[in-house]
Amino acid sequence: MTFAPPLLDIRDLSVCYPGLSGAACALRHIDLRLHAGEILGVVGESGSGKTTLIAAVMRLLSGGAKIAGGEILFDGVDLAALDEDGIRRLRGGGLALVGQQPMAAFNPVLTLGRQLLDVQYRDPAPAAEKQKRVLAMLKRVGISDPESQLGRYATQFSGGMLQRFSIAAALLTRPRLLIADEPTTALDTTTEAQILALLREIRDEMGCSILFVSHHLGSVASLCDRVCVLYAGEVMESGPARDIFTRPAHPYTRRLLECDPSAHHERAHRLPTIGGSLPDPASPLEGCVFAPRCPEASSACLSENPPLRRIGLGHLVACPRPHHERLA
Amino acid sequence: MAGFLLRRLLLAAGVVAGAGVLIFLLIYAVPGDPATTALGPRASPEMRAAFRAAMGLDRPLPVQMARFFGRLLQGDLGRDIWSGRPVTEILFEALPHTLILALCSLGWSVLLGIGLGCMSAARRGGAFDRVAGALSIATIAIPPFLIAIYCLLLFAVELRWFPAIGAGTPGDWTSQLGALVLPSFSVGLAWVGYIARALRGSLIEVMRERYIIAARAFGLSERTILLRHALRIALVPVVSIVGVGFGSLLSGSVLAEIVFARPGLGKTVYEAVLARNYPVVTGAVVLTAGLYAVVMLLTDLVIALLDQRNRAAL
Amino acid sequence: MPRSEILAGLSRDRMALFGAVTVALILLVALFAPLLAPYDPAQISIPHRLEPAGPRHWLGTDQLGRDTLSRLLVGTRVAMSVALLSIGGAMAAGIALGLVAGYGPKLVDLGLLLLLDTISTVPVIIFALALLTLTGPSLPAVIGVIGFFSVPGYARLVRAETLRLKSADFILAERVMGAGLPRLLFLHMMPNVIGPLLVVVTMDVPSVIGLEAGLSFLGIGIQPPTPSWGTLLNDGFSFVRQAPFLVLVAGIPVILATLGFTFLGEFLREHWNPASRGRR
Repeated sequence: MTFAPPLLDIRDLSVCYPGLSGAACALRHIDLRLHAGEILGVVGESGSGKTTLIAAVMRLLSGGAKIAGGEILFDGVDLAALDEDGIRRLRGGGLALVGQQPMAAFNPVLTLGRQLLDVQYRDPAPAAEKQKRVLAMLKRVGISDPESQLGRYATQFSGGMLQRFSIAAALLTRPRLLIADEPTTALDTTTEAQILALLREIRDEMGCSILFVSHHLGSVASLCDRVCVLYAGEVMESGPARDIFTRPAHPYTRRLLECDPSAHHERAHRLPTIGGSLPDPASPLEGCVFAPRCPEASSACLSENPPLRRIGLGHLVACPRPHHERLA
Repeated sequence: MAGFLLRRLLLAAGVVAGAGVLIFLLIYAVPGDPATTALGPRASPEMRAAFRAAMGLDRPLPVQMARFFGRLLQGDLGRDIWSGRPVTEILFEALPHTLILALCSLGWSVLLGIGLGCMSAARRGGAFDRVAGALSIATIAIPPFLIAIYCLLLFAVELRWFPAIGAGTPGDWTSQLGALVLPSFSVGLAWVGYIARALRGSLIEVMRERYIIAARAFGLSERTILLRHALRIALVPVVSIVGVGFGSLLSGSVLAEIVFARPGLGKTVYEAVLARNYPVVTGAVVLTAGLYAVVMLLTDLVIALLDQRNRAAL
Repeated sequence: MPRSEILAGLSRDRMALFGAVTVALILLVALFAPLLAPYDPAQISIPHRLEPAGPRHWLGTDQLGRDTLSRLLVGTRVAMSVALLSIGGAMAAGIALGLVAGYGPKLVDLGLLLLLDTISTVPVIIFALALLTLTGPSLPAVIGVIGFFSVPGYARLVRAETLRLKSADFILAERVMGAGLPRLLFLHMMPNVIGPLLVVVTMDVPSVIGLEAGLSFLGIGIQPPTPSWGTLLNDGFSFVRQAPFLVLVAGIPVILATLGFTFLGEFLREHWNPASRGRR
């Protein structure tokens, strides 16, 4: 817990797509805070809005989506209100992104060495100096014999290796915030573990803050300091990772953790699921967005959307009857 | 690399052979007697027989083909009917002029076409894009020889800015350049539109790729992304189109030569056609096929250079 | 092919509208040329040779005193007839080849593709010159040669449709019920293929017109005294210094025709794009 202002402070953020029958909002009134040197995990299934969240922060929204309200404060500057030149200066110059598909991060017809040099384009240092940095960074992210790899192309590497290159490229821009969008989803488990370890080292050694978005609870649990749980475009719960994973308060979080296959150690004939389906973003309901599928929902839940409220140190929940209070 | 070259050379040989076979089959399949066509309806049977004997048309088809290919392998394309000069000599004398015209036309149109294509893609949907698009279509539609005639009319006859005839005096390269202006303009004009449209479409597609979005995430400006990342990849299909359109480029050059009375393959073949000079005509066909094969090879090399993903074939 | 959609689209797109109107005009002129022509196009009148535009001859006269306007109008008919016959022949040959390529064994398909590729990439003028050298520039020869170079467009289209349908589920179902494959292909293919065929035709006309005009201009296409646009250009070009007006005027119908058909073709192509076919 720190009293310094957060590095990334998202307040009441809403992102909406224009639709045929009115707007469909992929994000609604998001509140999220990330402090310097922290690894914040954003957890959600597909459709929860986590990709939209990243796109909104980087101002790379597509498909007609617009920021409909709220602020994205990065070191005090509101990214949502910034003009095109302003946000461009921050991309690759304070904000860095590592994506889900390592192959999609690099131009297939330029050598990786060339591209790693290019990402340092804002830096006036001479080319030789940049080249040294590239080699040093590649060693740092665990690529052995980097000199021989520089002349090769993205198509010649495996996903795991490319993801390391991707992280190296992001770090060469010396970011204050590294946004990792499901960086290990396309990788096998062993490689995943290595990449997660790498990310932790980066935070420890370089003090770089990381916004780690994933649907894989295991990764989030092992890597993140704090966690934010998204469902259908809204924050359900947020708090220290330890609290979220050992004493989940929101019914959705509880069910999510129950459904995680790695949580089961005995054989089961059927894995638990959460009944029902995601609500249609084009026709928002009154009341809690999870209520239709919530086993503990009451009539109040269906009529009033519960706000995020504090139930512990740094632990916030959007539920009128979270788990602890029901037990008490 | 060696394997690639070998394969391409074999393919080139195949194309040339194919063209030769095609011409021969056409001679036989086509109605009418070449002797009568050449000498006119009033030629006597003896004259016609002599003509056929001189052309070797009295032998059976397989024999003719064998003789033709046999001579071809030795680099001999036969002799001109009327003057007796070797066809190879005649054609290779004329070829450089045509190549210079073709390359000149291609050169300026490629540069302008790439520029227009980039600008249209960058300002997609805007006024510039729409006007450029309409102009592109218009220039592609109008036959190049007509453009040549009008250019001649306006700039050579009326305004007298450029010469109407010939390739300039040998040795005086300014006059030769001056004589190139109108012909290469009329041949290249359609290409500008063609290249611009193709590049525009290709660029728009490439700019949708994921690695372009990744480049944006690094804060690169749209212009840098377009020119440094997208252009190289987008040029590949355009190079392909140009390679395939080489035949059309040659056609246009031939017509321009005839309109502007420039020396070259066009003028030579045209005069041979009017004089029913078969060896020259068939020789030109075979030569063109060979040129075409060389152009395809060059196109593949350029594509491999631009996009390393295509180098596996090498 | 919703007609209302096409008409609506035409009214919005000025280029396409220009194209459609021009094409309609040209077809009308071609149809009624002899009625529209003020003079007999073959009527020679030496005292009035090489006159510029005037009250009696709106577009002037050529080197034999023939009325240029009348010759251009009849030339429209010649151009359209050549286009019709050569494209008709090309379409017939192309459909046949396309069916064979799509339906037949793989080797035949590959061979035909190679042939089609050769035809479409070859320098047309040189080959056309070569072929016409052999046959002499008779009208059937000219039509045949011009049509020859248009064949690949149709063949490829039909081949693609044939291949697509050959393995389509509903075709297999009908075959199970005993229907013969060639007849099936033809019946099911026609409705789908008519639109794209029309597009190819419209885009082909400009190249056919250009080729015919070019060959006639060179003197080995349509032979004088038949008034083709190309022969008129040839006449005008020979006298470009004495009477530049003639060559100027002779080129205008070619420009209008090629522009008109191309604009119309572009518009039709956007509407019959396979991508938009999926919307139906």
